[in-house]
Amino acid sequence: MPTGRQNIAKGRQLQKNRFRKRFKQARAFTLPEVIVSFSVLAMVVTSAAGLLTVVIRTNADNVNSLVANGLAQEGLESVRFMRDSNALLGLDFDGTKGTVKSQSIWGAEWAATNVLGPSSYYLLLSNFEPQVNCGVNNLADCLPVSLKSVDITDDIWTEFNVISLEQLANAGARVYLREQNNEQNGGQGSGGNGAFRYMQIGPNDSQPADARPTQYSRLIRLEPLQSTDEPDAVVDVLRVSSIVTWADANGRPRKVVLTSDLTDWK
Amino acid sequence: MIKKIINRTVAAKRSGHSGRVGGLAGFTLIELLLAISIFMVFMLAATNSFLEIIRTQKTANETRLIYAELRNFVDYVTNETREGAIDYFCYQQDTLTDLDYTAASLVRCDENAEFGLSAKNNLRTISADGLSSSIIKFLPQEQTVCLKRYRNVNNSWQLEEGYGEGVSEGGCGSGYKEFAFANLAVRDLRFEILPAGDPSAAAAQTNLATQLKPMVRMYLQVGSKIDTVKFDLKYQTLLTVRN
Repeated sequence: MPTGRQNIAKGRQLQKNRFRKRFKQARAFTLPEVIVSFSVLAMVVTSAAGLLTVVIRTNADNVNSLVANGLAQEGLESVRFMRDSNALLGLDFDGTKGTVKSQSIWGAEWAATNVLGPSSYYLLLSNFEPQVNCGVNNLADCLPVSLKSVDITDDIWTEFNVISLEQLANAGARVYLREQNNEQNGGQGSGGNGAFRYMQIGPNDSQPADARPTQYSRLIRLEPLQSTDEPDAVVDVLRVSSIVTWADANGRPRKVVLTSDLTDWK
Repeated sequence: MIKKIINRTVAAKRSGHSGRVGGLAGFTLIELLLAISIFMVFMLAATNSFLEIIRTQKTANETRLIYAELRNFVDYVTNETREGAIDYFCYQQDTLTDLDYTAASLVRCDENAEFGLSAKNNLRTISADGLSSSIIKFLPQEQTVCLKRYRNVNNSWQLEEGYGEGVSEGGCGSGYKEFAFANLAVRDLRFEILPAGDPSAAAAQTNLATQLKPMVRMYLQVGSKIDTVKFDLKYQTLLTVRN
């Protein structure tokens, strides 16, 4: 009759034998197996590395968003400029005067935003060489910026993709870059230290010969939040959004939106 | 362990057996060469990917440094414009030819900077309380951004601390400091001021072209001082004065 200690020793011996047997029977990997496994591993490592590289590069794409932010800020500040200038010129909040509100000095369509209604979209047109002497009759020649209505609705943002970018560009929202020779800076011309301007071109305006389309599109969105035409409203409030879109290095649509609520502080 | 393996190998040889430990089959030379070759191919691919990551990471970091400097400068100009006002007093002197720059009020205007409201290389602002003023000036040939700040002490305009007469950094001229950029190369900087006349001036009251909110349009073209980061960025924005 074996004792308990002998049983344990016997069990260990059996385990050892089983292990040795299994080890001797174990087949090594064949060459194709090794090649396939290494290939799979190599594919995983290289694709992971590629993904990481793309992530890092996308991060560096932030520089483009800085330009987009500058353009968006230009849009927002332009509407603020219009609001403040209206007060200085003695005009109503929307740039109209008197009871006939059919026309605003900043673009005929802005007058419609004085009453509550749906949001509307505009291009920001710049007059880079405004007249320096103006009276009532030629005031429009002295204004550095104006708005032009475009046929865009809020629906465009429901599925914001590459097609949306094309739609915006087709609607005239494309931002152009105009570069000129600048003798002051050595006259190195386009691509050198030439003077440049980002601009939008109106639907009826011809594109200047030295202007080329950029990847950016810009829209100004005006949404009346409160109107004194309503019984309880004490002040007009206009929500202004300046939206700049572009495609990043990987072709994905990007968007910068700056929003501010402007009140009729006059 | 190694000693044990050697001893067992020697013992096996003495006993007439092959040198294989425990009678197990080892790798042949061909197998070994094949394994090493496969491993080398794998290592090559992995190393290339790794090096690409390092390179991209380095470029991204350098780009971020440039981006940070750019943001810093843009914020500086934004604050100067928004917190203060356009120093129309100095700009309007460009129509005069016989200026007396020793006059107390004109000291801050700096006769050496190129005057002009239309896309010129300088911006003059004055604080809302009228007690400090600054000039941002760009030298196109040297591609240097210069700063000068004045403070009004007892009705006398004096250079702020750190801006000494006779001290000139980066060819900026007396009293200027250079806006130093470690990685950012400023290639062009221009400011366009609208309206082209002080709205509060008495003579401007009848000219509607001046009855507009003052604002500044800034054009900034930058590149990189770092060889590995190549870009040409054209930045444009508009800043309205809040005072």
